[in-house]
Amino acid sequence: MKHSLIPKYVIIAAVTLSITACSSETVQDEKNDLLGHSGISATSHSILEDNADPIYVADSFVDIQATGTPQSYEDLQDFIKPYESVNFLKYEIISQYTPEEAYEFSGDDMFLYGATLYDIHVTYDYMNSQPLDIYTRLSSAGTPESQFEGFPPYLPGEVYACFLPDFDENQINYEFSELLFAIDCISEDVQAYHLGFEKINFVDQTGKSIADSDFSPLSVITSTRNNPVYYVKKIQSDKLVEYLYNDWLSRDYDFQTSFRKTKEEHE
Amino acid sequence: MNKIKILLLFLTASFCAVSILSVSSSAHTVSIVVEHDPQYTGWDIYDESEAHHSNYTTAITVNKGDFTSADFGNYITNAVTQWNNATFNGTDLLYMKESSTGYIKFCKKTLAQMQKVNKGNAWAFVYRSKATTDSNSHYTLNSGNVEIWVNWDDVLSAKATGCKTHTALHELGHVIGLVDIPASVSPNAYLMCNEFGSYYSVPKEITINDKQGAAVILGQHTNHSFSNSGTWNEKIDNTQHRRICSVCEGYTIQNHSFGAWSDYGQWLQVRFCCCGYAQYRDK
Repeated sequence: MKHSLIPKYVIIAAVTLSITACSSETVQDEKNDLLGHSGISATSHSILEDNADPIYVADSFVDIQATGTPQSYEDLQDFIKPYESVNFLKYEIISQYTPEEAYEFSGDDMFLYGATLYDIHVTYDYMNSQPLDIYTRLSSAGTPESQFEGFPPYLPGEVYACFLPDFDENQINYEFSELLFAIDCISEDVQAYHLGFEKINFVDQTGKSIADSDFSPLSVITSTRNNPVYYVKKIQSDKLVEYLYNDWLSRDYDFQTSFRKTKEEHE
Repeated sequence: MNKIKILLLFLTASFCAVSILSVSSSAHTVSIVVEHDPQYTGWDIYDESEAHHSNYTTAITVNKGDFTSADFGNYITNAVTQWNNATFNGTDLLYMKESSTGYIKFCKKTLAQMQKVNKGNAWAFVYRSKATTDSNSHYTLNSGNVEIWVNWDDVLSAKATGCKTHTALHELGHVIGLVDIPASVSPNAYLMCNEFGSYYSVPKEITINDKQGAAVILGQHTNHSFSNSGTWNEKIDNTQHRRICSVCEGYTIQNHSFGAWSDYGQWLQVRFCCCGYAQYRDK
C-alpha cells in the first residue's frame, strides 16, 4: 500500500493555503465558457443565508427506503473499503446540464429520471495537499423535479469537499454522499458543513467529536423553495482533513495519487 | 406523531372472478380508514398514492435476476418461501412465487451504481423510479418492472448469513407496501427495521407485526375488530382515545364516549369511557 506520508503541519498549511483559493481563484473565463447548460447564474452569497430567489420548486421527493444504511462512521467503512483508493477533493459547481443534454452527452437514461449532471472545477486534493485545476463532470442523485429531501440541486458557484470514488477526470464522477461537505468560503476561518447523515459522527480517539458543539442543525434555502439544504454539523476544515487523513492512514487505505497534478504542472 | 391515514380500497364483486395472476384494474369501491403510527402498531405502510403491490390474491412473482444459487439466489428463494407460507389470522397472507419472468427482479449492483441514484450507501433498496403503476398506484406486473438493487459483491456478500436472509425478506416487504421502521421505534424487533447498524442482530423472519401491516395493505384483513374492552381502547388525552383493532393493531382515533354518571362517594359523581378514562363532577 502506498501512502502519502505528509506531516500533519503540511496538511494544515495546505488547507490554510486553500482558504485563500476558495472562491477567488476560479478561472472566470473558463467558467463562463462552461456556464449556460441550464442558464443558471453563479451564486456568491454566504452558504448560511437563505437564497431569496430560489429557482426550483420540487414536484416530489425521492423516497428510496434502503436497507443496511450506515448508522455510524464505523459502519461507513464497509462502503469505503472496497474502493482501491480514497480521496477528499474540493470542487466548485460550474454549471448544470439539462436532462436531455446529460443523456445526449452520456447515453445514460439515468439522467432522464434519477440524477443530474454538472460541470465542476476540482481545485484541491486534500489528502495529497496539492492544488488541482481539473475541469470534469459530476453526477448527483436526484433531479430538479424529483429531489432528495435536504439535498436540493446545486447552484453554480457552490463549493464542496467530498470523497469522489474512483475519480477520473475523463469520466463522469459521483459523490460519496455521507462525506459531502459544503465549504463556506466567505468566512476567514473556513468551515465545512456536513449535509445530512446525522448519525455519521467524526469522533477522535478520546471520544470527542471534532464538530463545533455550539452549532445547531440549520436549514438553508439554496436552489429550491420547498427543499432547503440541511447542515447537520459544522467542522473546521483543517480539523476535518486532519481527521480523515489520520483515520484513513490508520486503516491502511491507499490515497489516490493519479491526478493531473497541479495547475503549474499541467501548464 | 406521524399519523398517516391509509385509504384501503378493495375490488368489486367481479374481483372474485379475476385470475389471481391478472392485474387488478377494477374500480375501488370500499374504503376503510385506519391509522398506523409504527410507534403503536410496529408496522407502517405506504399510502395509497405510493407504489405497492395490489392485493393478497394476485401473485407476487419474483425473478432472481442476476443472482444464482451460488450467491444471493438461495436467500431470495428462502424469502419467497417464507412470504408465501406466511399466514395471518388463520389464513394465507398472500401468494408469492419465483418466476423467470417475475415482475420483481433482483439486480446485482456496484457501490457506484447505487450511489449514482441514491443519496447514501446501502446494502440494498427497491429502485422504484422506473417502475410503472396503474391508476391505483399498484405495480403493473410486466416482467422486471420493479428492480431490487443489491450491493452483493462489495458489501453484502461479506456480511453474516442473517444479514443476507434479512435483506431478501425485507426488500420483498417493501414491494408489498411495507415501510421501514426507524430505530426510534425499534432497531431490530421487526423485519422492516432498517437502522440496525453493523452490531445489531438483524431480524431474519416475518414478525406478526409485519404480517399485520401486509394484511392491511393487501386487503387480506378488512373487517377490523374493535371492542369496548379497555385493553383495546387507549386514552390519548382528556378528549380522545385510540380504538385499536385487536387483529391488526391499526386504530381509529375517537372522542371519548362516556357512560352514565353514577355516584362516587358522598359528594362526587363519576362516568367512564371505554378506554378507562374517568370524569368526575360534583354531585
